[in-house]
Amino acid sequence: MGKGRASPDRPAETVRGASAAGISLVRHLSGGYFLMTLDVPVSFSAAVPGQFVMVRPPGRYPLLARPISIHDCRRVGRAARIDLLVREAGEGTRALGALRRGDRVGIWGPLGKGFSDAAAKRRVLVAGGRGIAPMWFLARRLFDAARADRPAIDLFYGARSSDELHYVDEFRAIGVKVHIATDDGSRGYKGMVTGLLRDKLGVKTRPPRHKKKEPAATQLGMFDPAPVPPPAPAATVEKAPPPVFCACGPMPMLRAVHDVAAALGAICEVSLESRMACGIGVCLGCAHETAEGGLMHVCKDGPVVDSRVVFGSGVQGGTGG
Amino acid sequence: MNVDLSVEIGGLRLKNPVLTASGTFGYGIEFADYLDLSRLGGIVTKGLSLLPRRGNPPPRIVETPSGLLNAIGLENVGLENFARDILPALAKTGTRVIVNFFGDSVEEYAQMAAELDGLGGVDALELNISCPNVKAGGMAFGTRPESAAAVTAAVRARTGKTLIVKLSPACDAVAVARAVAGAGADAVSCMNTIPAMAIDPATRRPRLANVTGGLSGPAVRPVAVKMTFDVARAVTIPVVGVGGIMSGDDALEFVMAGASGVEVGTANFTDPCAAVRVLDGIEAYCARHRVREYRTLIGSLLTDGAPTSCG
Ligand SMILES: Cc1cc2nc3c(=O)[nH]c(=O)nc-3n(C[C@H](O)[C@H](O)[C@H](O)COP(=O)(O)OP(=O)(O)OC[C@H]3O[C@@H](n4cnc5c(N)ncnc54)[C@H](O)[C@@H]3O)c2cc1C
Ligand SMILES: Cc1cc2nc3c(=O)[nH]c(=O)nc-3n(C[C@H](O)[C@H](O)[C@H](O)COP(=O)(O)O)c2cc1C
Ligand code: FES
Repeated sequence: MGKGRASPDRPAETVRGASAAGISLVRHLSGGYFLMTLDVPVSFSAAVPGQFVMVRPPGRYPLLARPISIHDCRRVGRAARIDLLVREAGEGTRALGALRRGDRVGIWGPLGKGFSDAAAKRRVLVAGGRGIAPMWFLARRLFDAARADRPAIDLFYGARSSDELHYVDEFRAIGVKVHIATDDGSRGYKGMVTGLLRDKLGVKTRPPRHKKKEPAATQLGMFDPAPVPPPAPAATVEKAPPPVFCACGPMPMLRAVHDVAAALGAICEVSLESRMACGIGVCLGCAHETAEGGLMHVCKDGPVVDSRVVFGSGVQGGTGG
Repeated sequence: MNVDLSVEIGGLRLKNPVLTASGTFGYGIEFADYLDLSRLGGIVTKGLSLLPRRGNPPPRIVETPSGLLNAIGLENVGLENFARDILPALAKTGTRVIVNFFGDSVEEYAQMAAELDGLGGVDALELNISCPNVKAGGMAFGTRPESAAAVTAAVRARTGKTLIVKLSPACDAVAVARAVAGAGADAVSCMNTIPAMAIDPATRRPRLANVTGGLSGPAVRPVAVKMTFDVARAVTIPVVGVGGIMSGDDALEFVMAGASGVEVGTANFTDPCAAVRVLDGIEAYCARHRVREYRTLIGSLLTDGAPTSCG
């Protein structure tokens, strides 16, 4: 169980470290979000988009660290600097947001498996709410000047209201095509981001089937990281190869994105959430059911997984999302 | 000042008293990137069963005031996978390896003990009869002195390795401690998690899928110290203190109450280097208080003549 296994389409786990990091910036944003910049050891600069850190305010409260995606990461001399984009959701994230420049936090990472580095002419990123956090790092990396295979990137970004949308101009400035949806219609398309996604891509997914899968009782259920076979191309695909989908947001949204991707015969990677205590695969608290009725551990087997791992290989219907 | 931190627990010699608590340190090797494992007195593994186990459905954990409520349900890779894939690396870490284990029946406990007895690289066994999160195999055995003694005797008959029996706080711990000592345990550890539960009023639902769970972390420390204190005075075998230890001073509470060694649990989640920091704290205390031999601190509580019964 020790070291993570690298597979051809997923980056190997990188060097990890645990330390106290100094806060060099806390900027409060609208909609209950804040951006925090941390000075961290150089080992963090090995981070790949989709990976996360465990971060904990100093002192006795709260007890546990919280998992937060790496929003951006850069090397600064012999050290590194990471940005976190956090929405205050409860006491733990509020305690983080109450810290100031110069305070220190406990931190370990980078952790887990990020988005794959597969070459693709086109990427479709889908973010719901705080799911935007890893997308900035991902878009920036995909656009890295050193890369010859610079893809076209569309970002579908949904939030409850316009004040919860962040860094839209920055995404546009680096060349990402941004499509916005808000629940209240205060900016962009009114409704769910996956509705906008289906409209723009001209995809109709089947109505929900509401079938609950019973986990196989006899199956032990450890997650088997064997690669999932490529999806069978659906009848509706056009000539051009389909885009690679990368999604981060609430589960109903992830499922709806999976359905769109499945209808196009496209690869879809989703970033999962789960409550975590350790982030390093030892507490077994972050278990998540797989489509096959098995269990995976989000902090080690994820947070980014091929969507078929959790949603199976068919189109299950376009619920809510 | 050179401090002698070594200690003996039921025939097992440790270079220092700091162990890791079962279920909070994985199988040990996962922490190799974070700390020097050879500095630890020993590693207690995640609880193992004969066959792999899936554990409980999620959500399995939730934070409560100064505590962690969990219902993992003893998910583990099973003895065979452990022995083949993990133990060879673990045995080379330069620290003592203590395997925590459990079974569904007395026979299964005994079979586990026999197989573990034959495994090179396993220095001692910790018998879990106190998990609150599974129907069989856990507290069912550990809360009554008779059944606790029966399991201990069956295991004792199959192994010559140091045998530590882990006690539940949800019972008459003194009676159970006496019973397992009589049945051949070399030491006892105090304590496993406290059965507990948390509800989300917004949804009217329990916060854990298993409905109830086990509480650990600083919230339980005073309970664990008291249990250690009571048990240490009731039995002559060594006691290992565990529950909410976050620092060297926390560990010393247990030692002064009568524990020979300590296990660091939930603290490993708040800082992957916690166990080494606890060790550093104990060493610093000894240096500061001119204690040359750590052993002299065991049971060194000063009560100044105050009555020590319940109040
Ligand atoms: C891999 C990963 C990456 C994440 N990245 C980010 C990020 O970049 N920015 C960001 O703002 N948030 C992120 N989150 C979510 C963040 O960890 C939770 O919002 C946070 O742990 C909640 O803690 P709290 O004490 O503030 O709230 P709590 O009071 O603990 O919970 C508030 C609400 O959030 C739910 N919740 C609690 N923990 C989690 C969790 N781990 N995941 C999902 N829901 C949870 C609770 O059930 C409750 O409804 C990420 C989560 C994971 C697993
Ligand atoms: C997530 C988790 C998993 C645990 N798993 C086990 C286990 O497998 N076997 C066992 O004997 N105790 C287990 N325990 C109990 C701990 O070993 C320890 O007795 C308890 O947590 C109290 O110590 P602490 O407050 O320092 O964590 C577990 C505790 C936690 C929090
Ligand atoms: S968070 Fe502890 S195992 Fe995943």
